Amino acid sequence: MRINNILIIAFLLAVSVSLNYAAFADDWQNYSFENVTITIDRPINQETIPFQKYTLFFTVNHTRNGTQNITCRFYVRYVFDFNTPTQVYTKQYVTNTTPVQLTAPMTTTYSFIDDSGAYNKDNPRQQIITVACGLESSKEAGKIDVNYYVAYPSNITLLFLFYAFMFIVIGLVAALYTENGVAVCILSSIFIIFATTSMSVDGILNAWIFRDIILFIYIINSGVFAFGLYNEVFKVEKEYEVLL
Amino acid sequence: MDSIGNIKNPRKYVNKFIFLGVLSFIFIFITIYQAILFFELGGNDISIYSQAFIYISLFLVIISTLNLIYSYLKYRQAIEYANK
Repeated sequence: MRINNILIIAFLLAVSVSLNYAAFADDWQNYSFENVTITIDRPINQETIPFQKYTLFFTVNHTRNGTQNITCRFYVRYVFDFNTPTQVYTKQYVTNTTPVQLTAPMTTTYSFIDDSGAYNKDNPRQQIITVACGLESSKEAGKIDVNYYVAYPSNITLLFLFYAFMFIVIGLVAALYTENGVAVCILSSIFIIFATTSMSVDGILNAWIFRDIILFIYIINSGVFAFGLYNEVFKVEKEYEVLL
Repeated sequence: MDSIGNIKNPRKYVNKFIFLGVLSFIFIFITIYQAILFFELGGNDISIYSQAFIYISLFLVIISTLNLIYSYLKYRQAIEYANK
């Protein structure tokens, strides 16, 4: 059997499995990332969180003068499963209470690092952070609820990435042993495009890690493609030299 | 004699491909090094330099591959011309 026939069969098999998988994996669209905007007057940096350790910066705006104590509390809640929202993990962080001289209006910036490691516990899909800040000597207080949807690729994205990697490896082997790696790399390019589209649907393409993974795959694929093509160039170069 | 008809030897495009390919490899290694260094220093996000190096690597790989495709087409053209 010629290698082209094997490639066509492999491609059709991959498409068939993908279509079947997409038909049955009906829950993958539910895990979309939403960039939640805050409507109150205390901005928080919004970003996708791929790892459990991150720094949250926020500012407190107030109108008080004089020495005041500012206390902030952070409540981090991880929702492990959308179907059972009661299955959560909560951790509270409290900042040091330090008296500061305030002049109104003032903006104070705090940073907070969540190193609870809860992200890796049980594959959480959603992370909710509640920030509550208040001036101790007054009743002035503010509360912010922020929903962070943890960036996580859907199963169909992982499947496309797997196919892309598989065809890159097959392309490399084909380029090394059969001098015919170009066609396989074109197949892997198709799957990379599928994976990129699927990541975009998941809403995780904004997360740097996934975007850079895709870029790396593009680079590797282009390298293998060039290697396969170099074999072809080598052949025609020999032919050219004979003609000269 | 290094040309068939008016088609000059496309070897220089192959040489360009090799040069740019090696350069892109260097940039890829710098990117990986930057990323590892950044994480070892406790960074939570990839540095702006790593992102820049990734895009530069991608650009170099694409340009070098285009050189290779061009040289392949030129060789084919020259061979077809000679066969006529």
